[in-house]
This record gives sequence, structure tokens and C-alpha cells, in this order.
Amino acid sequence: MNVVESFGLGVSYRGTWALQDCTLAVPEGHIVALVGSNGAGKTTLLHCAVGLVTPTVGEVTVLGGIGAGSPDALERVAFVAQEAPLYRHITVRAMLTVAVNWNQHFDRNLAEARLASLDIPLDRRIGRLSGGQQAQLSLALALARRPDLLVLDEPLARLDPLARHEVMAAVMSAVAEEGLSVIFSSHVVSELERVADYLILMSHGRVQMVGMIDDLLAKHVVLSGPTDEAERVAELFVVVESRHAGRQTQFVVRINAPTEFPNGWVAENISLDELVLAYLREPSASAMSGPLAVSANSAEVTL
Amino acid sequence: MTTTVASSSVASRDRSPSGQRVSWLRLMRVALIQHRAALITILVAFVVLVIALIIGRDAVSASYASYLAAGCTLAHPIDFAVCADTANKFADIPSFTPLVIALRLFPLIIGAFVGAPLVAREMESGTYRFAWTQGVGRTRLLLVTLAILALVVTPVAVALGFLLGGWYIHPYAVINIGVGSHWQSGLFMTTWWMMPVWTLLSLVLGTFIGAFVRRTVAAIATTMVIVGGVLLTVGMYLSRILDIGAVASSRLMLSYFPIGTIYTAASGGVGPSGSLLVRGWFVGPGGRVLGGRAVNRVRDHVIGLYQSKSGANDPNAAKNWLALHHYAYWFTYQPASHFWILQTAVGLVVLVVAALCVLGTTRNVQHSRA
Repeated sequence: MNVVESFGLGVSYRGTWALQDCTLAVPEGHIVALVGSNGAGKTTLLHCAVGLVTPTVGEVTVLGGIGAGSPDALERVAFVAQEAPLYRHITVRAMLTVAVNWNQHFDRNLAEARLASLDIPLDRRIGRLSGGQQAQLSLALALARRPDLLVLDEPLARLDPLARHEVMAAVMSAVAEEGLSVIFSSHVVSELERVADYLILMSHGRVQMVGMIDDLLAKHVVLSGPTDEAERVAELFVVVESRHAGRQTQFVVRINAPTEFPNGWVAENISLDELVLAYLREPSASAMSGPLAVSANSAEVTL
Repeated sequence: MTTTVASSSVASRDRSPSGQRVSWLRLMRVALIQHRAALITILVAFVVLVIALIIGRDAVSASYASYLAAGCTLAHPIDFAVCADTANKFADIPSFTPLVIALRLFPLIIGAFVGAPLVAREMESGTYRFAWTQGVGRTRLLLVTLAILALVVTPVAVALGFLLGGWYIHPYAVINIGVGSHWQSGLFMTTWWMMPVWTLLSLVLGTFIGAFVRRTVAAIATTMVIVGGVLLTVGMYLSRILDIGAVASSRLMLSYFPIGTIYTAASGGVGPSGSLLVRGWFVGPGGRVLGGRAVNRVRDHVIGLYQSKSGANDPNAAKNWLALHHYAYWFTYQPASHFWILQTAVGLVVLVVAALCVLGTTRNVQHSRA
């Protein structure tokens, strides 16, 4: 089952496309990192998936074909929005009451236990909680809904390193115990590398790269060698990005199978950070996984 | 600080059969928590207006009691010096107009301070991203919230209408029907039926505006302008609305001959008892409506007849003179029996507009892309 599927998805705000031609399928059971620069369309894609935004064109379904935002989808998909917007004028306890009464399957005991473990007092007004506590409260409210899919929009954006660690630990713990699928967006790749096993990279409103992170890393290398041979070598591989520094040239290349590299050229494994940056610097490059490969441009390849 | 997971979290995620939704009762409980400030606003406005009505009524009670004690009635209000004196004291009591205005402003207050922020505040603070992604769904959430607020404002508005029209205004209606008549614009719009109707329209119109404006303060200001404009316009053009279905008569005579819009409650034997005089005009030979100087000439002559010795003794003198010269005075009036028919008709139109506002807000919220 795919937890999110979209076909030809596009969202236009007053004539400007925030999301365009987005076709993807995210299989269940993964922690999916949705990465991209500011304005890449990450939030719009997530808002489509949780039903907050109605697509201008195309369609999006969740959890095996349920229409995003439909009553069934709302029961099974939990969303933590950017900056964790909650009702600041009411207490944590009142917020729990709100959530209990707005959801058919809310586990209040689970939420209270999680909040107690985080030393978040139930009788405090939400507006008086720290940013980290508010993020934790949002996450606790989402997890207590016992969702099949948890969608997090930049949950770490305004948190200090300790709070980031705690939020990610809470997510990992929930995934381990509940087996739910998670999609979370961020533009800080280093935070995602430790927890995510699936990557969606977005740029300029389009999906640029999709796949299992291990697969993507295995199929890309950093190739370094003399600049005077660069042109010849570039013709042998799919070059995602090239950089020249004097007599030395460095390519990020995509390989489909174990390959022998030219003499004098050194191939090194690529880090997720480097891979993401290489694609972000080259918006025309794309890498789409399996049957969902889309012929978008000359640098596209099916992995 | 460590993160632990409660043992209940390992329980399987049981789902109720598809279609089972959060009950309305549970949603109402949340609305009571979430919109406490709005509910307090309604109750404070109610208490303030009730206190003002009690104080206002208290101020006229003494005069009213002495008026009744002197044996004054509506049929002979100013025949006796004491009646005239009491009636004059009534006219000096300043609470009537401010109170009627305050009650007419009640719907505006509800629209601006309860309706307008309802969706606008969610949009402005971003909490719609929480609220609209919960299991309840945004449409049900909006409808339940509006329903509970309507359930609160409706009895409050009905009570205010009863207090004003049935209790506070009674002495005025007895002493000076021109002021205290329920046909009078301010009172027509503040009956126990019209008060809730206009309050509901104001509530949902404010919500509708808030859903478009998406900023709380701007939504409040816009609602005040638009709802205030609607209330003012309807008040100004009420005479035209009340001309619909009015009865035309040339058989009955008025002691004076107003031309154009009259919009005065019949009193002192002028016009059918309990009716509203709406519009008057003269018709000349050949059935044409007279205008300008012709009207003045005929009217001056007829009024002169009333003032002459012979005319004063003959109640039909004016009518006979008009008939002799092929003139007729026509006027329209709403009989007393039409009052509640018109109230119902106007109220239903307002409720239809309110329903359209709810529909528009629902569509806006469903397709919002904030």
C-alpha cells in the first residue's frame, strides 16, 4: 500500500504554481524525509496530502486510495503543522479535551503519559509553554490519535538542539511501537539523515528526486580527476553536478550498476548532504524511482 | 528529560466502522471551551441591555402610574391638563431612543465580535491547520460552532425583543401611539421575532466576511461597516417594504392630507385603528395623480373647509367637496392584522439570506487555500 499517491498534482496560487506536475507514490512503513529549499513546495504538497489544500489540477490520495481530506482520511492521518499552531489561550488540559472531542479514536491516556514524561504541566496555558514544549504537545496530540500516517511540516524549525533531539526521539519511538508511516519535511538534511529511510527532494514546485535513501546513495558517487579529461569522462556517465577547481574536476554522477571508473579518476561514496545539495544546485536534474520515473529532462534516469 | 511511551500505545489501532463520526454533543462541548470569550460577550451585552431596560422602564413608571391614576386613556390623552402634563413629562424622558438604538445595535455587536472572528482568528493565527485536520472535519466543525452560537444568541435576542416590545414600551404605547407603536421603524425591527432573525443574520454574515478577510480586526471592522450598512438601509427603506401588500382606500378620510410617504401609526381616530398609514396621494378628474401646485391648491381648500365653521360641523364636507370637483384623496395603510404577516415575511427573507451566508462560508472554508 502507498501511504501517499499523487498524479499530475498541481497547486496554483493566483496564477503562480506552488506545486506542479507532481506524480509520486510513497510506500507504507517508511520514515520519509521531504527535503527542499525554501519555497520548493514542500508545505503545499503536505497540505494537499492532509486535505488542507484542494489541488488545482491532478489528485492526491492517502493510505491506499482514500481521498486526501475525506472523513476517512482525516480519521487516519495526523498532521503537525509548521510552528505547531495551537490555541494559546487555553490550558494543555483543555486542549486535550478539544482533541478528545474532535477525534473518534483519541487516546487521552497516551497523550497525558507522554506529556507527563516531558514534564509539561496540564494546567498551564499553551501560550506560556516554550517552543519546544509546544512542539512536543502538538506531537503528543497527533500521536494520541493513533494515526496510520503521521505528517510533520518542519517540526524542528524553531527548536534548540536538545528539543530537536527529543522530538525526533518521540517520533522514532512511536514508529517503532506503532508501525506507522511518517512523512516529515525539513530543509536541514543533517537532521533527517539519522532517522529517515526514504527521500523526496523538491525544487521549484516540482519533485526532483524520490527513492530509498540507501538506494539513492548507492547509485551516486563523487568522481574526482584531471580537468583536461573532464569532457571525455562526462560523456561516460550521467553527471548531476560538476565543479572545476584549477586542474582538478569533481563530478557527482549517477550509476545504474557497479561500474569501472577511468584511470586517474577516484570515486568516493557520497553523503546524503552532498547528494541533496548537488540536486538542489542543478534543478534540471531529476531521479525518480521505479515505475514512477518521469521523463522530464535530459539528465533524468530511472533507478 | 527522557521520552517514554505509555503502555497503551502498543495497543492495536482499532477503528470503528467507517461512517461513525464524532457526536454533535461532543463537538458542542468543545465549542463551549473554545468560544468562551464569545459566549461571555453575548451574555455581557444581554445583561447590560436588560439593566438599561429596567432603569429606563423605572424612569417612566411614576409618570405612567400618575397618568393611569388620573383616568387618562389613549382615546383622551390630552383632554385634561394632568394627562397633557404627564404626556409632556414622557416626552422629556431621554431613555427611549438610546434604548431602541442599543437594541438595534445588538445584532451588529454579535456579528462583529462573535461572528467575524470565528473563522478569521483561526486563519490569522494558523490554528485552522490544527482544527481542520482533526477527525471531525472542517465543515461539521463550522456548522456545529455556528449552531451552538445560534442556540445561545437566539433566546437572548428573543428575550430582549420581549422585554422591549412587551414590557418596556407598554407605557409609551398607551400614552403616545405615535412613539410606542410597534409599526415604528425601531420597534418593528426589534420585536421578539425580528431580534433573533437579525442577530442570526449578523452572526453568519460576520462569519462569512471573516472567512474572506482572514484577519480578525479587519473582519470586525468590515462586518461593522457592512452589517451596520444593511441595518441602516433596511431601516431607511422600511416604509417602502411596508407598502408591499398595503390596502388602498379613498373611502376613509384622514383629518389631514399627507402626500407621499406617511409611515405613521394611526392614532386618535385618524385612520383605521392599529394600522400603519403608509402613503397618500390626490387623484384628479380622469384618474390622474395630482402633483406639485395642484395638490397644494386642493389640499389648502379642503383643510380650509375643516377650519371653517360650516366644515367643522359637517364631517363629510371635505369629502363632498372633493367628490363634487371629481377629486379623491387616496392613501395606503397596513391593517393591524398585517403586522405579523409582514414580520414573518421580512423575517423569512432575512433567514434565507442568512442561510445563503452559511452556504457561502461553508464553501469558502471547504476550498480555502490559506
